[in-house]
Amino acid sequence: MKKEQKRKILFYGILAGALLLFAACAAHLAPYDPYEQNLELSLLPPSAAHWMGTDRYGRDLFSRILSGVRVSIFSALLVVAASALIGTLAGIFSGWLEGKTDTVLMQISDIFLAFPGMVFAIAFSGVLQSGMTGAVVSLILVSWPKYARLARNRVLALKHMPFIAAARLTGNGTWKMIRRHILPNLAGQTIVTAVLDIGTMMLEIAGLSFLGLGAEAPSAEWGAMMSNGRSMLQTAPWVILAPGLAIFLTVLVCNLLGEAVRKTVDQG
Amino acid sequence: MKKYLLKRLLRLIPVFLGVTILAFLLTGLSSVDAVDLKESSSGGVMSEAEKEAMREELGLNEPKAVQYLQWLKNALRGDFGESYVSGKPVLVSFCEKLPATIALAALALAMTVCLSFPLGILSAKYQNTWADRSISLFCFAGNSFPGFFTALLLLYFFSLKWNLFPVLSMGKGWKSCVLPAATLAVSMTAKYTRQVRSAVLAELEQEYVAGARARGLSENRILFGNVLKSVLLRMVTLLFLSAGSLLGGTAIVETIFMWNGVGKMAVDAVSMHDIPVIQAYLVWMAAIYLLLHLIADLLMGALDPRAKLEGMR
Repeated sequence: MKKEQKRKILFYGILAGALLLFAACAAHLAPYDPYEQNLELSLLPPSAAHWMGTDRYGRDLFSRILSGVRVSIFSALLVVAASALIGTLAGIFSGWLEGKTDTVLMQISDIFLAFPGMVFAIAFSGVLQSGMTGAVVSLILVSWPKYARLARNRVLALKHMPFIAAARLTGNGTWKMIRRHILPNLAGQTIVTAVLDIGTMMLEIAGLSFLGLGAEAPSAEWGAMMSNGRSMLQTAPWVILAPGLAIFLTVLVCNLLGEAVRKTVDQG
Repeated sequence: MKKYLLKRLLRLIPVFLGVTILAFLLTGLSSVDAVDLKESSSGGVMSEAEKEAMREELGLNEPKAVQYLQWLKNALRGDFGESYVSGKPVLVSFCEKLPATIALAALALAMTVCLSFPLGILSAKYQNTWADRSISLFCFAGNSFPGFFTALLLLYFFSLKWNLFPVLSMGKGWKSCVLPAATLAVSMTAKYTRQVRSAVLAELEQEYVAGARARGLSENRILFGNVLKSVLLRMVTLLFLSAGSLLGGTAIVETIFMWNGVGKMAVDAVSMHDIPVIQAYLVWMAAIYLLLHLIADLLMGALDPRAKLEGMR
C-alpha cells in the first residue's frame, strides 16, 4: 500500500512538474506570439496550423493557453504559499501565547471566515480595481484563517505534551522549541491542506478573472479568455472549450496530487 | 441548551461587528469619489460648491470613525443608504432580489440531495467496486470543474444545440431556473456525495451494525433501517453548512444566466463602484452565513453533547 502511494505521488508529482516546466518555458514552446492580432485569421476552427483554433482577433489559442499556464499556476501558488505562511505564523503565535493574543487573533480570523465562498473576494478585488494583484490579495485575506486555525489547534494540543516539557527543562528557548518540536509536528497537516488548496485557488482566480476582477483584457489568463469568448459560444465553441479544458485538467492534476499526498500523510 | 445558545449568540457579536468594520473600510479603498459618481449617474452637472454641500450632507467630511458609527447606526436599523447609481434605498433592492437567489439555491440544494444521497449510499454500500470507483471519479472531476465552464457547456448543449431551455433566465417560468441551478448542483453534488459516502461508511463500522448482522438481519434492513436513520441528522447538518457556501457561489452563475439575484446585483455594483450596495451585500451575506452556521452548530450539539461542551469553552 505504502509503495503504491509513493508511486502515485511520484506520478502526479511528475505531471505537476511538467506543468511547471510548461509554465516556465511557454514562450519558447508556443508556435505563435500569443498577443499578435491578425483579423484575417479571426475565429478559425482547430486545424493543423492552429491546433486549438484562433480567437476573435485571430490570435492562436494554443499559444495563448500555453502562456496562460504561467499566470494560473504562479498566482495560485502565490496565494497558497502566502496564506499558509501568514496563517501558520498567526496560529503558532496564537496557540503558544494563548490568553489575549489568542482571543484577538482568533476573533480576527473568525471575521474573515464569516464570508461565504467568493463574496469577500468579489467585493474586495472589485473595489480595489487593481486586476490580478487585487484578486491575489483578496484570496490571501480569505484563506489564511484556515491555516491559522489548524496551526493553533495543533500547537495547543502539542504544548502540554511531556516531550515539550522535557525540551523546556533541558533549557531550550521558545524559538528553538517551536522550530525543533512544534513545526515538524505541524508540517504534515499544513502541507496537505496547502496542496489541496492549490486547485481550489486556481478555480477561484479563474472565477474572479471571468467576472473581470482578476487578469485584464489582453492577458492570456484562462478565466478572462473564457469571459471574452462567451458571446461566441454558438459560432466558435472552441474559444471556450480550449481554456475551459485547460483549467479543468490543470486543477485535476493538482487535486490528484493533493489527494495522493493526503493519503500518504494520513497513513504515515 | 438555552445557555449554550446564548453563549454562541454572544460570541457572534464581535464577529459581526468586525464584518461591519471590514465592509465599511471598503469605502476608503475605493478610488472613485462618491459625489462624482452621483453626479455622473444623475446626468446633471454640479458646481464645486454644490458638491461640497453634498459631501457635507453625506457626512463625507467627518473623520472615518464618526462616519463608521453613523453608518453602523443606520445599518442596524436596516438603512444601508441609497445606491449611488439608481438612487433607490439599498435594502429595498436587496430584498427584491434575495428571493430569486434563495429560489435558485433551494432548487440547487434539492437537486444535490436527490443526486448525492443515492450516489453516496450506493458508493458506500458497494465500497471499492466499479460503481464506487466511477462515482468517486465523477466526484473528483466535478470538484476540478470550474463552475462557469459547467454553465457554458450546459448553455451550449441544452439551450443552443437542443433548444430545451431558454438562454437567458428571468421571466420564462420554471424552465429558466433549471440550468443555473444545475450548474450549482454539479459542483455541490461532487462534494456532498463524498461526505454522504464517508458518513455511511463510518456508521457501518459501528458495533451495533456487527450486532445486527450477527442477529441475521439483512444488509438492506440494516442500511435503510438503522444506519441511514442515524446518519440523517449529520447529513442535514452538513447540508446547512453547504447551503451557506452555495449562497457565496451564486454570483458567477447569476451573471452568466442573467439571473436577477443578489449575486448579479453585487457584480454589477462592483463594476459601477456602487459602494452602499456592495456593503449591504457583504454584511447580509455574512449574516445569513453566520446564521446557517449557528443552526448547523446547534444541530451538531443536539447530535453530540460533547461538541456542545467544546463550544462552551
